[in-house]
Amino acid sequence: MIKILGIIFITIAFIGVGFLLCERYKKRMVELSCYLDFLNKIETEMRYTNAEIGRIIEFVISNDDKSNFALNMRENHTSKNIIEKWQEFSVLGKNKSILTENDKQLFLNFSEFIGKTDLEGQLKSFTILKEKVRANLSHATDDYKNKGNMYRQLFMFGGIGLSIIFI
Amino acid sequence: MNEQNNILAFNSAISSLSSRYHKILDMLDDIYKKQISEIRFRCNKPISVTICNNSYFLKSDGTLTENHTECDITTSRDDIDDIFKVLCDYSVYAFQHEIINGFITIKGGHRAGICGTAVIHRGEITNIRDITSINLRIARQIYGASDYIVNNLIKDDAQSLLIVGAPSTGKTTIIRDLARNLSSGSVGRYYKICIIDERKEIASEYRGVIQNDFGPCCDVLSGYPKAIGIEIATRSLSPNIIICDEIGSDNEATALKGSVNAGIKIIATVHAGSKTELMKKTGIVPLIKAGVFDKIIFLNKSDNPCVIDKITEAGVLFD
Repeated sequence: MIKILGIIFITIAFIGVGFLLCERYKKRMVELSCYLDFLNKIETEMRYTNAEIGRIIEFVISNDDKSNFALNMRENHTSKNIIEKWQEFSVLGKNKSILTENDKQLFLNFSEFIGKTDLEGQLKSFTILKEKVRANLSHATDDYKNKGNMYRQLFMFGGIGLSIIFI
Repeated sequence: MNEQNNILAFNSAISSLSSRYHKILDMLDDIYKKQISEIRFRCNKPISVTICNNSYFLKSDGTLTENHTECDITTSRDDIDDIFKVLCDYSVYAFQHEIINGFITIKGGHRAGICGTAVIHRGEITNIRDITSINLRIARQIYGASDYIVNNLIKDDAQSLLIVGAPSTGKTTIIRDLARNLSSGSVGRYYKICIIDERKEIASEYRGVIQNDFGPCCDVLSGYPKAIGIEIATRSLSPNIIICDEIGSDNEATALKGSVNAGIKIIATVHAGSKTELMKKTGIVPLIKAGVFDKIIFLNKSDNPCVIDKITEAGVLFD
């Protein structure tokens, strides 16, 4: 009886690890997708209202309940202005985040150009940044489809295989 | 009450500066805070403040000196850039139109004048780069600044007024208080006032909230070019009085004539130190000749703002 329970436990544990690894790829994909959505909203608001960037970001993140960075920005009140806050988030988020170094650099890029030129320059910078984010999102989607599924199946079959060996 | 408001206005103006300068200026004694009308930052030079048209220099311990050689702090090139970024709220694009006109209006209606190198594209200024100095002018609402005008010129019936004065004589302060007085019913009736605030200097609109007290019957067209704002106000807001600052262009003159012909009174200001200077203003003289204004109020260039030098009938100006 204990042997059977142990085998079931090992199988479930392996399947769980597979799903967790797969979930990391999914989370990266979702986070990048939310970032792209965020950039689109900021660009639209900037073009339409021409309001200050702090005001636009506050408005956009207040209506965003999906992405981690919006949640992080809302909770992080240590810095005085919104750009410092964004940079702090990009740096502090490094250890916790599921994003790659390249993804994080894209988050930092936003604070490097935002608010520093006229509207035309801002919109061009948005176009370039969005292209880069799209490319990373495409990689993340491929990773999720290929590696995510691979890990899930590998650990599932690994767990079952191990169980069979024990039996 | 005015003294307390003056200190609050100073504190609100310095809150828009980077933290280093905010701390030093905040150490100033209230006696200075309530009198300072300008704070000037110049690249590699001491910070100067203007009190009653005299310049004083700021020391790092938050005191003032008349001698610039006694100053122990100067504003570096990077400091100027930092101050500029903070004044723009890290959003240069949002202030682009104002920047190319040489100023930024910040929260509280304070105006920061900008000096730098003009970037010219196809004959027009498109930007200002390498900013060398910033002059922060503190906007103040002085209650009672227009009482004399209201009690003597508008008590029985509204009149069109042109307020003439050199820079820093209190023109904007007077029209701000006129708007409050007339909209609050202090002359026995509530006038419907419309302020055309192209530079957001009169009403100090910030994030959709008018920060000055204008009473219950005042509408503000904020950020509108004056000529367009005057036309819109005339067509759709049916005001008794339109108030605007620093008129002078041909478009504005045409729009003002249209409003006067529609039965609306005008209160406006113009930069000129004397009658002679006023008569050289090619955009204004035709307006006066056309009878747009009933009275001309000349302000005195004295140590105190809002001091009336003389009031004349517009018609007798050409006698």
